[in-house]
Amino acid sequence: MATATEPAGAGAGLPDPGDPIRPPWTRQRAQLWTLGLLLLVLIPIGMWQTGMSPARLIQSVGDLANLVERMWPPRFDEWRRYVDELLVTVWMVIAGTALAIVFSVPLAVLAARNTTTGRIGYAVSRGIIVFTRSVPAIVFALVFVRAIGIGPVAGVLAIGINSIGMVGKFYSDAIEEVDPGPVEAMKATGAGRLQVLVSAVLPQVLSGWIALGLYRVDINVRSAVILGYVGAGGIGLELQRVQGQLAYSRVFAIVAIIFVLIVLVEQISNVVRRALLGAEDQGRKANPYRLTNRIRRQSEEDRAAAEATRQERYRRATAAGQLERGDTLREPWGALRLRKWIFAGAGIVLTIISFGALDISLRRYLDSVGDVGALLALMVPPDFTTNIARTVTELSETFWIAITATGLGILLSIPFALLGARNVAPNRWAYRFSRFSMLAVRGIPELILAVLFVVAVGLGPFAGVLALTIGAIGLTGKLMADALESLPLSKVQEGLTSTGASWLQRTLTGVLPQAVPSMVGVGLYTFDVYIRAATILGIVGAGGIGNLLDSTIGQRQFDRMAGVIILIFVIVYGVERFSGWLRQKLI
Amino acid sequence: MTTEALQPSPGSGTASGGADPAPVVRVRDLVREFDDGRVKALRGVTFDVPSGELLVLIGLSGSGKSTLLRHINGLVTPTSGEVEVLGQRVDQLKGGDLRALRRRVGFIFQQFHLVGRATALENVLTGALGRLRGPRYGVLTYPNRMRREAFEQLDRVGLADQAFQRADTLSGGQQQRVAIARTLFQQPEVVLADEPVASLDPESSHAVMEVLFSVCQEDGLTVLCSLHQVDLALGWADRMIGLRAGEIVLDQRAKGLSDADARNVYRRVDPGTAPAEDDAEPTHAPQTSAEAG
Ligand SMILES: Nc1ncnc2c1ncn2[C@@H]1O[C@H](COP(=O)(O)OP(=O)(O)O)[C@@H](O)[C@H]1O
Ligand SMILES: [Mg+2]
Repeated sequence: MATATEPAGAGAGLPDPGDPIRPPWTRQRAQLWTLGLLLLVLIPIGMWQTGMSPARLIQSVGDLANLVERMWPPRFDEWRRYVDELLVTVWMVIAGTALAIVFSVPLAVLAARNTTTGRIGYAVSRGIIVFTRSVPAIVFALVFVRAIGIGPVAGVLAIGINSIGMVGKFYSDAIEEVDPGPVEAMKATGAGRLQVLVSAVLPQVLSGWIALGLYRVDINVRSAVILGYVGAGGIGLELQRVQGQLAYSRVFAIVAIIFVLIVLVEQISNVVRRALLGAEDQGRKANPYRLTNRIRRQSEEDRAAAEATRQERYRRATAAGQLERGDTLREPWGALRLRKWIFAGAGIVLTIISFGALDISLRRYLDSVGDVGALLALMVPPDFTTNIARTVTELSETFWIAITATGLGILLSIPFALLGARNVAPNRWAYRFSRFSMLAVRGIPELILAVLFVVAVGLGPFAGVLALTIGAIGLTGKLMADALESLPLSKVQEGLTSTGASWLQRTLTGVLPQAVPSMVGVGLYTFDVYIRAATILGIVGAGGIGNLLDSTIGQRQFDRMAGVIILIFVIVYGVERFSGWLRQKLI
Repeated sequence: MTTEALQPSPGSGTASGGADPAPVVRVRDLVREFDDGRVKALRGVTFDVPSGELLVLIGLSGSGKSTLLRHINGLVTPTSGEVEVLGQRVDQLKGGDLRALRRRVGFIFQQFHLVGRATALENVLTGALGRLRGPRYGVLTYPNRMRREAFEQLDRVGLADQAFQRADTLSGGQQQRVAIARTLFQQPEVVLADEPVASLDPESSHAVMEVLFSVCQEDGLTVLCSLHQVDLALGWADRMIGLRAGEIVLDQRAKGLSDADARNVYRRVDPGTAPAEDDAEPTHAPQTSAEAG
């Protein structure tokens, strides 16, 4: 017994026979085991809490098959309406994202420690960022639809305000990370505050800002497709209508269209990102078959060509020893520079069109400020106490949904991750199958999945857990696979292969231990995302506090609604802080 | 001889340039502490620099050279003492007045401090920010006249060919020359340079110092430059000041100063106690004698 607590081999001689020879317990090992065991205990409890009995699970397979039968074949007979609403969704996303970016820039300057104006500006901007980031877009949409009526204006505002938080945070982080050297150099020339921002800070953060703006378009498309479901305009409106008519083959058609939109936007924003940022963006390992990488290579070649032209031009200009009279000394137009300006111009034009297409005048926005103000007045003071029993029940339901779905989702996505990591996958076919599955699941936002599962298995948290668990393949699976691909595994693999180990043995003994830190990180992130999702699943009938939010709005109890929104904020923000703290402890 | 050279003699510098009545830089009893007085970067530094003088500061890492230079354009404020530049008390200036003074004082950094993603020409153009009123000129661009002037400055440092190359694709020596052009474009009266060649190889170092000093001489600028290359310093400087642990231990005309005398500044302790120990580590004031005194 006594020897078991001592590190193996620390004492003299061989250990006693019968000594199990285990590695000593370090603090981190203990923590990881605790977390793992906790998950194993919590998953069954959560399954029980969310009504996920084995019998129900088995039954749900039949329900799903049944639904698929009713949905097949998809009916696109109303495709004109769908396309119209799909376009509205796209315009909403562009207008909302543009709005968010415009407001995020000054907010970010105030919220960055190295550019803020003072303590008050810093605190206020950080507060706005934290709040708008933690309240899901669909919650804002519900409020705005109530305040200013059904239609895309509510959607644009919801997308815009919800995006301000994340975009503002990223933008201010980027400002805080700039090289302070040029800033100091500008100050030393006697430059003023705005001049320093434009000349020293902006050039350093611009490409990151653009990349994030494009990424945010991705995210916003995914949340915008559902906004119409609560009346905020776009394709979700159609989804809600045909679902109400029990026209499941049309539901399928709309989900298919949404899927195509999401995958398409993801690809387009990738392509644009590469085209604009060229070789600077080193986010992904080179894969020669990806369109984005071909574009990147093209960018590099363009850059080299532009460089050569430039050099040549100035060799000529300076060969005569002096400048020509008319020479304005502007940067010559290379292919890369031209493309940057074309994309920038296209972005601005698209933004203008989006506001035009939605037929939203500035007047409309100004009016809506008054309407929202009127609603806000009805929201104070927030009411937390009326029917507190229901609030507590739905809150705990929310937690159990998130916990269960995270746990099951991680288990479900591990095999996908292993097969979908290029440096782990046993062969190309497994890799392609896994990557395709992840892409396919990612193409359907969680709330849309939840709508489908509600149709299949009925109202309640069970549908919510199923939706999020399946959704984990696209979210958790992809992140884990990417994390695995960034690990240097080839030496480990080689070492184990040389001992004659099989793929499964290599993976279990060589890959998984190395992957633990990144899996813990991805797992915590999944929980972050899922607690957020679990607060709004109830809006489509899939359990949790969103249900209460929906019904308080239906009953025009705006003070209670405010209470629920604040609770949602507290939960989401609290979990984010908690998981951030755990992440630091564990990794 | 050695010990004599190391005696601080504040008068000697100004005495020889005595014709000029108003010094461009006037520093009196400058003290600067960091971390609540735990680090004494400068312990009472006094000197004057007359107009047009090329002054080189030498001293070990951590002896206070950067801190001293940064006081002169107000990037650092003194704990006590006075700093007067071009007739104005820098230590008391604020906001717009400070910016107006900084416009007249150029600063060249060891790490160049260029905006890497901008072209060489754009970097030079930023030197004029103090002269412009807006964020730039029409936000996105500079006036044509300025572009041409900036180009001429680039030409002076031999980089006309690289005008439109991104700054972060230039070699270190080229980057520092861009920074010099930026400072020249600022049209300063005083140039401060903080170890401008410390991150360059010896060959580029010589080329860059050559450019810097010759251009400043042409324009008749007053220069304060910290430098580790004693040979270079002796070749170009009018006068040398040596710092050790925040105090002036050498202040002499460069003419007639021997290489060995100058190098004495780099000894960590008083010559005679431990002469062989030549450690380049930054020191946090190992001697207590100054505190006791
Ligand atoms: N911002 C600062 N905070 C704390 N200590 C500083 C700071 N700047 C300089 N120091 C200290 O002041 C002393 C002088 O530094 P510095 O002026 O950079 O010397 P040098 O340029 O001669 O190497 C050093 O001990 C350094 O650690
Ligand atoms: Mg220094």
